[in-house]
Amino acid sequence: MSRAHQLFAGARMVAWERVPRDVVPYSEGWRSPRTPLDREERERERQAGRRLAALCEVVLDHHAETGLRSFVTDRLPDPLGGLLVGCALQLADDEDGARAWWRYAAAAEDELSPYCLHLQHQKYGEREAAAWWLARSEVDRWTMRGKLAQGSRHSFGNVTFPGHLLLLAAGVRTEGRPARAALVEALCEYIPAAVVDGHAEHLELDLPLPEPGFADRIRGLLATAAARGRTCPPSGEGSRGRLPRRPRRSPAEA
Amino acid sequence: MSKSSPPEPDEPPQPRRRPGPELGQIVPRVVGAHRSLLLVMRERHRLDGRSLGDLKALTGQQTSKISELLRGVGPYPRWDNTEPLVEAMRLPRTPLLRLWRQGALEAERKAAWIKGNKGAEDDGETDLPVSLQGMRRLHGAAYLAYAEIFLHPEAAAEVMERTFHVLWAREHVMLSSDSAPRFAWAVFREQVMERADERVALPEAALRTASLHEPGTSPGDEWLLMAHQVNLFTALRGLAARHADVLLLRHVLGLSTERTALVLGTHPGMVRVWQRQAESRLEADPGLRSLIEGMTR
Repeated sequence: MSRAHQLFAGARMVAWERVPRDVVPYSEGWRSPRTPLDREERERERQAGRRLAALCEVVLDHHAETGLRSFVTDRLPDPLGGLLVGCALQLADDEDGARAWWRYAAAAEDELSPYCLHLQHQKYGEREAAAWWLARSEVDRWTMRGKLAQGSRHSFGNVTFPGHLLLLAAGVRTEGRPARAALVEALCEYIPAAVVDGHAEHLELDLPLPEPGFADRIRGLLATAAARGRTCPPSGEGSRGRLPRRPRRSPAEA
Repeated sequence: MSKSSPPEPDEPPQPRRRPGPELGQIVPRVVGAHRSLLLVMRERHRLDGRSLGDLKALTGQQTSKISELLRGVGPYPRWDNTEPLVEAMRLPRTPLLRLWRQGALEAERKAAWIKGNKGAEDDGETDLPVSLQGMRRLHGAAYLAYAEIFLHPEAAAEVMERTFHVLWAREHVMLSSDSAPRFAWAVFREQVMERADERVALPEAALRTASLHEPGTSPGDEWLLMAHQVNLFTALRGLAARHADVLLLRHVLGLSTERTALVLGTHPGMVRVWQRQAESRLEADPGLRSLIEGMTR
């Protein structure tokens, strides 16, 4: 027997034990292939993704009722509406669409969309693009005090804006996503479905246009939500952790 | 304008340079199925001589968008944007669609997002082309056993699936290579190594060898055996790919020389040469010197 044979004596593989799968899928290590990025970089990218998701939730929550009221055409909302459409698409993983809609809003000097774009580029490690958009956004220097003094539409507590987003994202991680209002839920369901055709139809455009009649459908959703708000004050389900909506005063009461 | 002189008759013909800029590298964060998908498309792009401008004319997409897609810049691409390129490059649709779907899962895209892509449904029925089915029947078992040295069985099965889909997508290249089995082995090995953790995969495999699973070994002996196997497998890590492969197929999986040659797509004589070279490398390995001296004493 040669030395090599001696060396390899007993080196045959034993088959893996064939046991039924664990109920929780075996996922550490192999499901997602190894990335060549170092841990710090990956963490930074993940964090940008989490901040972005938190920001989108906040924007939708704040502006869903007021932001999508004016339209340029029946398929094209105004810039604030564009920001909201972008947020809804981002939350549905349609990040190409979100990017295009935020650019549309940013071009019309919306204040928040450059910051959304900054976070999205950062999420994909595109440092130059991220820096470019950050330079066009004043948002990261906002604090509540300064902004309130100027009477801004957006107010985000007495910490810097990115810090606040981080807090929100951390809250989402530990406590789970807060329940969305019915209107936000409806928008998040409808908008991504409405732009599906837009993606496939006009490949030469980055902006996925929603289906015809988009404005009417959105107005319908808003009207339904408003009606629901009037008739039954939200209780328990669907509005956990939220103050009950103040009942609107009807003209008869006034 | 300067006139170019006609090429000398005995000069080898210069490959026609594609007009327009060269495509940039794939960004480093792209891995797994997404990377496989891009490699297939980029290889085709390199070989078919079309410029990004040609692709723009064929698909109607902006060149910047095409370039971003082929480099993996930004979010995971939509199938709506990928499919026209696949068509323009005349690549087979099914394997690329499956790579795309797998990549979308790895990129943690929501099911609703995947469904929101036009024409991205996979019937799941279309099987490999006949030539590849034959190859899977011939070499599938050996491939799987090799993959299971490095990977958990579930990952190994996935790597097999992925390998044959990449081969399907690259069938033209495979059939025009010197040896289809050799090409297939190279593709397969790359897929395994992308998944395996190269620092620990081999030493961990040492713990699954037969000698450690024999009943009735005393604890002291077991320790020695384990040290032996771990040293041996760690030493394999330092060998050239073909040397390590021959030793693994021959000694660890127990294939015959002829079978090893078939799997690697080479001649039995070559396998013998590589095996001898590899064994003498191992015997010279300082980490194994003490083991070998222990044997001959």
